[in-house]
Amino acid sequence: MDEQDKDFEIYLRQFHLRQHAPYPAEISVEVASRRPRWVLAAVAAAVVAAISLPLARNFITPDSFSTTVEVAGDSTYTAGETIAAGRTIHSGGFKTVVMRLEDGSQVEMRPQSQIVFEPAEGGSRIRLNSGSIVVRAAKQRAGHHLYVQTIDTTVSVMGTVFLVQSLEQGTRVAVLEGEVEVQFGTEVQKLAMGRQISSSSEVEPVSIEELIAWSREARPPINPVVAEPPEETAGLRAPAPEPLPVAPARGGRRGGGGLRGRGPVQSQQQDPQAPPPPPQQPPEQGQQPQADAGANGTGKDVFYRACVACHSDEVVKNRQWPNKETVASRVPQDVAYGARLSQQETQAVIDFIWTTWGARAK
Amino acid sequence: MTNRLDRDSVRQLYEQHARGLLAYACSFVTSFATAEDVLHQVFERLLRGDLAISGAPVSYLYRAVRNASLNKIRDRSPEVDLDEGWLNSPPGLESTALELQSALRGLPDQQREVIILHVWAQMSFEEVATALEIPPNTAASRYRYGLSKLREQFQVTERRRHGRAG
Repeated sequence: MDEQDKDFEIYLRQFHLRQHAPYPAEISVEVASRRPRWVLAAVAAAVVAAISLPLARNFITPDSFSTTVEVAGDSTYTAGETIAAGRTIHSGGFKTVVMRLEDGSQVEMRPQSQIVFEPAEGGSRIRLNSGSIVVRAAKQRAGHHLYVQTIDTTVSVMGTVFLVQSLEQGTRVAVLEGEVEVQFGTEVQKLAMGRQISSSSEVEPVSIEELIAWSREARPPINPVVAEPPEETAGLRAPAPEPLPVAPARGGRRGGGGLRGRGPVQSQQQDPQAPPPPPQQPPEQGQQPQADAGANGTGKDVFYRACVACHSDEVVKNRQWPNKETVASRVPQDVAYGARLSQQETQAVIDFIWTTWGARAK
Repeated sequence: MTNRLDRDSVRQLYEQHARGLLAYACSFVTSFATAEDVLHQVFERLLRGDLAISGAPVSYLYRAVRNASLNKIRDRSPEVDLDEGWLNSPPGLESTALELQSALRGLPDQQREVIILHVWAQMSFEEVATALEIPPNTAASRYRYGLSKLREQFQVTERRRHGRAG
């Protein structure tokens, strides 16, 4: 495919297939009623239910079974709509969706993300099929856990705020408040506030601010992650200060970082010894100044908010930008395709892309 | 060799493949509601045990959706052809989504179905190949040819639209 086709493919992907209807449960009811065996089946089901209900109550509670759409964004849902467990929930193309669980936990979905909420033994589980979510987990009662699961990672929480990002290369978990327990395959690690970890070395470190730039948690930051770094967790090596480095977890490189044979588990954290970096440092010091994007943030913020809402930043990183004119001609095309950027923001994004990735960052 | 699936297996197939199958149905019928009807019809028949799966379940399902879609097209009465579109568009691009779907309909079936499955059902070429029982390279080349053609057609349509607007 040539560049034009690739661009066109990105353009096409901003349109989304409409959400399909949930599994047609009414069909199975209808089918059951047509068969003479239904009486036996119903009796058997009643007997099993009578026996197992008291047992099941210990594991599955009514609050495990539905979620409510709190903020629908541009998805196909409406605020207040209840979505039953087991159904796939899709966010829209450009806005976040916020779901509220019965226990008060909130799940904010990045645009173009997909989750399934379902009961799990000892609690409930959010299956993240693709995209990113920020979970503000309510305090769970004793013996009850909220899990977030991706293809290679399980996160277990009791009451905290954290991000989980499911990428092609692996999974990233970052903690904004509290503490979570992260399991990659058979490895379990505790992850404290301000830290992030990934299941693969291919997942590049990104600051937490950038990771949640799309989220309402970023406005204002719920937690100045850099101000009070947590104490060192045993075995995790202290990395260098900003930008967040990649430091091997306990024992250095390991092969068991993911179920799909990915690289080692990577932990990225703030250096407790390092002085806190000044707030709002421009991403590239000593280079050409960025345009002022006014109240809408720096070029970097705008880029991650408006551009990465539709396509991965990899698309931009991996592209050749031999001169600034190539950037200046490309960004307005995205605006024509629907990226919501003011003139000022467009210029800020052009500056950001050029200073960050232009001519291989010079 | 054929087999009938139990309810759990049918449900699992729906959870895993409904999106792709719906997109596939959309490549034949013009209305999203009709595509959903097709999808539900196929699963209803599976649940009733009217369909016995032969071969790999996934490719069987795609064949079933294809046949059901073609039957719908054959049987439909013209007055109920409501084209409400099957793509959600970003704000302000609603008419563009309809133009896009119109341009898609101008493509050969084989190219259109691969494009829809790859772009909107988010299936890899290997998955598309399995579903449609074609080699992955064929899926990729149909996609490439189709995408170039779609881009040209779509640009022509867009130019006409802007011409009219201007």
